[in-house]
Amino acid sequence: MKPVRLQWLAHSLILGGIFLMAIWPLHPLVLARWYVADGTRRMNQIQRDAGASSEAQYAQALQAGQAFQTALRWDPLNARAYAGLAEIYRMWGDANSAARALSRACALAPRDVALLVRLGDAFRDAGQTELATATYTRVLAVQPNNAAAAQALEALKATTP
Amino acid sequence: MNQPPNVPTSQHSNVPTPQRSNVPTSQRSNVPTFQRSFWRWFLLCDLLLLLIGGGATVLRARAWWNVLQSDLTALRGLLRDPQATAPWPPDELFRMTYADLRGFQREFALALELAPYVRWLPRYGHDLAAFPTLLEMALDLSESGALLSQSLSPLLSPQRQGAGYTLETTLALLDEAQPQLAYTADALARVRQARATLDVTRLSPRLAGWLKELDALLPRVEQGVQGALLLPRLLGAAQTRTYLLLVHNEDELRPAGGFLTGVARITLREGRIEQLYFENSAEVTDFKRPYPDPPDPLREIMGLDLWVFHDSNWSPDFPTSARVAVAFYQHRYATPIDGVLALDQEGFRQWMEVLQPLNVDSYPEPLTAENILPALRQSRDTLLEPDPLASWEHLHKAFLEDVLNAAVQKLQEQPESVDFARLGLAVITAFEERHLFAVAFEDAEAAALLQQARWDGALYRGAGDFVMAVDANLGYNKVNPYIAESLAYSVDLRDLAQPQATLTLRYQHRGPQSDAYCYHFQKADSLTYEQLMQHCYWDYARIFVPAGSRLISATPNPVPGRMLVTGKGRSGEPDLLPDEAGKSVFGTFFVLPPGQSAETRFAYALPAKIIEPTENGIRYHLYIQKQGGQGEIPVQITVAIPPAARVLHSSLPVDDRAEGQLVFTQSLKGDLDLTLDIAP
Repeated sequence: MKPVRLQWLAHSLILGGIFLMAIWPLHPLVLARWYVADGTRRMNQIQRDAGASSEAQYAQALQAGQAFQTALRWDPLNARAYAGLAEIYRMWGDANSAARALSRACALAPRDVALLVRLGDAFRDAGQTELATATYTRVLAVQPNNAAAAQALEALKATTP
Repeated sequence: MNQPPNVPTSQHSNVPTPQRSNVPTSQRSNVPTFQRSFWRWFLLCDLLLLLIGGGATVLRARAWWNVLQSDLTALRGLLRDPQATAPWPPDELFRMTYADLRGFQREFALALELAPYVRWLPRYGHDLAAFPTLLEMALDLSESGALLSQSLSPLLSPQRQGAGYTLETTLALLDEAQPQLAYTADALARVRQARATLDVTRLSPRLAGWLKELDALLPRVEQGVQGALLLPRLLGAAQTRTYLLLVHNEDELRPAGGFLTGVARITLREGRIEQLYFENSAEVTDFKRPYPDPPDPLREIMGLDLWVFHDSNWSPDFPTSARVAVAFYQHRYATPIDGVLALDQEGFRQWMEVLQPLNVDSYPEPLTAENILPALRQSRDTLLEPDPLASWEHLHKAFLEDVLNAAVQKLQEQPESVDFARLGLAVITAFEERHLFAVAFEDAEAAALLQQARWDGALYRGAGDFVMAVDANLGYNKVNPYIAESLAYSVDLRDLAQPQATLTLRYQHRGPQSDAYCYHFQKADSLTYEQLMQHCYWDYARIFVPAGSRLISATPNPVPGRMLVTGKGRSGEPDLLPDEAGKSVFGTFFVLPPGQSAETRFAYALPAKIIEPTENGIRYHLYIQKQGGQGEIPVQITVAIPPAARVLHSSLPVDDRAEGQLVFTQSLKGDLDLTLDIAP
């Protein structure tokens, strides 16, 4: 082999090694994203197959939940995984757990207004009207023309004695 | 002649002549170009990776910061109201915080290893260096919090409390949680040790603020855990316990609290009071039996011949006083006593804030924290039981017995109406503010825990400087609600071999001024409580200072014989009393009429051993102990340091600093602890 090619090879190996070492810490994030995508795909599947048996839907949701949980094991800061879990809890009627998962998601993605609206809904469903009101108010402070939050707040005020 | 142009030859030129090389022509130009290009790309890629990696790290750190901030906010909410932590139950909140901290620690392990070496960085260097310690403290706190809240969750859940949770079941729960409580106590001790290594003055305002928050909280949490550790043993979880509850009346201040007005013998079994037998303290004394001579001031000033039960709390060291009280009690009742509690009116008023309203037949309206003190005082003037055969002593204490029984009944029969978490806090506050003491005689472990928490009211036995001003009302009256007291303590450390101190005690009698003569009544049955409060103040004041202290001078307080029931006047010279509980003791006596003020001063030489040498200089530690039964007392501490000396660290904020003097203005709500590190 010619010396120049050897040099190329050696240098490429060094460069590649350094590159791999540099990006290695990012692999949990990549894996987490992959699992989140898997979970989201399964959730979309449930919505598409609305007519499927409840057992099949339950199995699909369970698998989606496992995917989100695995994503969180790889990256505990993945807001989308928490949001996905919250959706599953909501489907199962566990409003308290949904609120917990969404409040984590909101802590991780504080600028995501859609998540905040979902958190407000979760608090409302869990019967935490004070927290729900505070959350909708927070949404309207950030985005004054947010119709969903405004309507939900109005409805909440109308029903709260 | 056609000369060629004058071109400089190579010998004269500055341009180097190319050297001939053996490298083939094809490669001669390639190698340096390739190397240059490789290294250029290499550096570019490195820079790019550094930027990507650095950016990703910053983003991750920011995300962790947001998460930990939200945890902290939720924990603050938990502390504000333990029963309103939606959406997180307390145990889950602690577990989540612990998991987040561990996740952060894992992800930034290398950075945390390097953090202690970046102290030199401007602005945030000290914050970064403190980070690993802070993280360990946070891990310890969250882990023990999770353990504890999980094991005590039924107590923290309002639904379960309302579902028939009684004192017995609470006690069983606490008994089961003893391993977790012990683990938490160890974790808190580790946190305290770690905290001591951090210098808050070098940290950024935000971090310093958090640490101050922790400083305020940590002692309370430690006390709560100590209390929870003690409670099952003290409440007879393992075996029946018999205690004496000494009821002190601090309106007539005495060294270990107040005048011993009543006593209840309480038998406890598995958290339930099986028997409560209340008596007027005067009824306990059995004059058919021999009693010893009283302490000198009681004999010389009050004219007492015998030392009996109701005067037993003469030592400010509560375990000593409690032993004397038990010995006198057992003159009459041969009952084994496992321990002694002493509670004064203010302590009971604090409990009433939780127990209110209490309904007692002998009082026309529900008793609350607002009206309990006036009601207790009025009760002395109103004979509540129409039984003409009952002794006067028994009658005027009957109300006290009614109140105690009503409180016990509410605790045992209506536990759902009592907020036990708040009651626990009220008990801790009463201990800390010296309105409640407890000593255990039979259970050595409980005794050690009480001593460790300093709830046994013992005199401080640690090293360093010490001051305790102890007043004893020897006037057969109840004037103390009208007495405002303050302390000024000045210590001179300019000569480290011969430190000196001056303690000034100031008293103001806020009772209505009158021309009435200060007559020392021995039998005050004909006077109302209010009249007894408006009398002169016959105060025997003692100061307890480090052993080996030598009195230099003291304010003379002569008292003529006509002002004393004994008729024997006092010269006013200070009393040099025998050492007590490892302290030197000086005493003085004075009489203060209503509407007037008095000031009495002791100057004394301190032993040089109160100053502790350290690596960087010296450490001065001062402990000011509050007398049981006293209200809040303003204190001013002045420390004179050598002219060139520099203060490295002070545990209390310095309020004024001038001409080598440090001034601390404090309030003696509980005991006070000052540590000063000085570089000479």
